[in-house]
Amino acid sequence: MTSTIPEVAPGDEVPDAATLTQIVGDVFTGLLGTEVEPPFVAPHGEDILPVSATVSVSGGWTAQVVFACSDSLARRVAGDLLELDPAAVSDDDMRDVLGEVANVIGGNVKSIMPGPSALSLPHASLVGEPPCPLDVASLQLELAWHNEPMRITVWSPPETWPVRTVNEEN
Amino acid sequence: MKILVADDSRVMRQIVVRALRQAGYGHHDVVEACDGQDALEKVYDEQPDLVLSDWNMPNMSGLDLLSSLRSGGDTRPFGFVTSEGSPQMRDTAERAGAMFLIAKPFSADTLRDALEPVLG
Repeated sequence: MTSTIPEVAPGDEVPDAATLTQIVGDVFTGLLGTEVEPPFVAPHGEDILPVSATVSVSGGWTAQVVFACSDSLARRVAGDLLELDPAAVSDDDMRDVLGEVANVIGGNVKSIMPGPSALSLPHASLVGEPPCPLDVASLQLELAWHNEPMRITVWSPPETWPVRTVNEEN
Repeated sequence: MKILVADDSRVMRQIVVRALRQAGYGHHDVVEACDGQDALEKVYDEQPDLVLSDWNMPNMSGLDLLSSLRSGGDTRPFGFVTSEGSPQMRDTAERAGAMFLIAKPFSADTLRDALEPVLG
């Protein structure tokens, strides 16, 4: 189901926005049958979204992949996937669905980055998204689903980047 | 026939079970396991004809589950349903004895294509 996505060249610390958008779009279309949308309001920027899940990638490529969204979005996704009324979705259901969305996005991102790397189990939080550190290579994508905001952040710490020679940088 | 679905995510187990139904395998019995260790015990207790397993799970990974089965002489059909579908993962899965690896997200058609040789 996932579209053919080109691998990222060694030396690129995070995927580009178009590639990540395609991955997230494929994941939502594949899991839920409906496409993600650009944000319907001004980008939420520094606003912290209330629920999130993170997966870590370590090895040939080291990074954190964070999926954060509104409470309503997570509740609706969980309701759709579990065939429940969104009001009947429990906190455990929320953590499960957030973790699985982060896991599938993270796994698909890892597949196109230099490896070999290992993917962690997801860690879900119902009390906000973890901050993206300064001085890291990062990409933040702001999207929406049924007019509810989501943010996908991929960041990679510089101490894990491969050393490049002057010639390679030129 | 009986199919064991192993995934630590209840949501993902539900997605796999729904896809089995959509792919035309709804008449088979389905047993669910919440991690690799649970799956290993249910393989011996329930004797499924096919195992569909996630890769990354707490307690015992899907790869360790498969290795444990094969090292014990168990040759029943085994396929991965996992979030990673890189050539390296597919190669590792095949060398460990998996019949196929389906990358999430997947469609009922993808599942049917993978299961047809096993379940007909």
